[in-house]
Amino acid sequence: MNATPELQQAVKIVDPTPYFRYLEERFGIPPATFDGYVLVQPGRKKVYIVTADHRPPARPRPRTIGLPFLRIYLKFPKLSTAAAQQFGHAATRNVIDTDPAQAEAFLTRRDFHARPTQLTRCTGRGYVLVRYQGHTLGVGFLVPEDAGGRVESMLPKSWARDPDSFRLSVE
Amino acid sequence: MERLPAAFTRYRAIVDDWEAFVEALRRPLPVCVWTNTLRATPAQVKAALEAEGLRPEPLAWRRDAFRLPPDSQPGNRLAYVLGHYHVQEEVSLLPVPLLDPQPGERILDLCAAPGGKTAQIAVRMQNRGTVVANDRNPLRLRQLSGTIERLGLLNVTTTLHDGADFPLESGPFDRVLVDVPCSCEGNFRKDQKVADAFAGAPELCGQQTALLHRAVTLCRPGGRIVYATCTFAPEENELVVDTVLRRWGTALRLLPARIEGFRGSPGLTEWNGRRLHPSLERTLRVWPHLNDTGGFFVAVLERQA
Ligand SMILES: C[S@@+](CC[C@H](N)C(=O)[O-])C[C@H]1O[C@@H](n2cnc3c(N)ncnc32)[C@H](O)[C@@H]1O
Repeated sequence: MNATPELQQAVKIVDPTPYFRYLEERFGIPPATFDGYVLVQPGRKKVYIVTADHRPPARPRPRTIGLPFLRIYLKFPKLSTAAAQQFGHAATRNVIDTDPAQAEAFLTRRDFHARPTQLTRCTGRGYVLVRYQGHTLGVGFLVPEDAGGRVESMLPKSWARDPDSFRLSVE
Repeated sequence: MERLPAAFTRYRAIVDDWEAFVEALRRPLPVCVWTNTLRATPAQVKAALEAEGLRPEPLAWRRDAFRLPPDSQPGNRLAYVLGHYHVQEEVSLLPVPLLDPQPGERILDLCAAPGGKTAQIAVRMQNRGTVVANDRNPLRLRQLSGTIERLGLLNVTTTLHDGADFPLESGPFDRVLVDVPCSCEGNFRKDQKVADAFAGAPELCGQQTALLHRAVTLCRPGGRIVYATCTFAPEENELVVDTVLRRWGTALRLLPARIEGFRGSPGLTEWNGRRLHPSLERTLRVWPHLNDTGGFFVAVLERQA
């Protein structure tokens, strides 16, 4: 689906091809997952994803349009937490299924150790999607180690839970 | 008994049951959550909250929203981080069903932050079409973005602008929500300090009138405008609507603001000797004791031409 004339007037439309290719290579997310959406760039550092029938005003100038999708101008573009939660179900590679203690660490922005058996679908150092009970929690950064790997939580501060009170593990 | 703010005593003549009103104000406010049906079913949300040891009770008038005891903290939970529900006072669920946004439409939320009602609109529109969520306060606009991101909303544009001066070329919109800044008296059960604010301050009322007038201007003929406050003050409620109705004459009319299963009082048609348009009876006044909620006011308007 093409962007509406209003959307084209209001914001820079981004060619999604390289980004979709990257997401397919790293995570196995089929580009068809994003059918019906358009990528736009209202600011400098972030690409947003929005429904294709969206008709925003050109004035006042939009601050955000849709959902943050990717942070660009990094060595590798980083999928946003919001986009990971929204589209992560379609991923087949570089996905880690966590246990309660690991998920709790991730959501309180602490690193956790992943066992070798949890890394069978991972292709190496780089971004991974962290899942718990089938839900994608967000994006981690995997650093392979001798036995398994260390996963850094890339959860933004604003999403993080308070480590003193947040519990997933059953005592 | 704690003293009630002096500002409230002037409502004695317009509350149906003064004792019950005062008694309700002294009780803490229940917590309320609504299901993000883009991500979860009401049954899933109920089960998730129960698994956390909470006791969700479906609202009488909305089965996808749940009431929890006053001290519950539903924000510190997995299902919350996953955007399966949003935490919002029960009265704040009233305006959006009355606005009745439809998939594919263009909707403006003129005073939108922190975005609870924007989110309800976006969800009702099935994550398609156009919601323009505006606020004048940049910090609060950030909170609005947080709401959009956690709930996974793909149909919202945010703007930072004075709503009373919102550019006309952005319109027309099919529907406009005007959830104005107000003296917040209806929040008394959450925050006792609110009653120190001077209800009905002329400057505030002028601002509210300007916002509602702009909202009507930005709406297409045949479209709908919903005006809401969380105060009891008639100066900020019926009087604002009356002023704007007079300005627009036959081009604007009130529709009944009623929700089945939720108890409200009709709007005032007279205050302090000022006679208001008789149709103001169609607006909705929510007193805390009627449904064990905060206080609220809603008016539903239709632009005729
Ligand atoms: C009652 S709150 C809105 C709550 C919001 N609708 C929600 O459901 O989350 C009123 C908002 O109006 C904003 N505001 C105040 N004056 C404004 C103006 N002139 N134009 C636009 N927004 C304004 C405030 O920053 C505040 O966020």
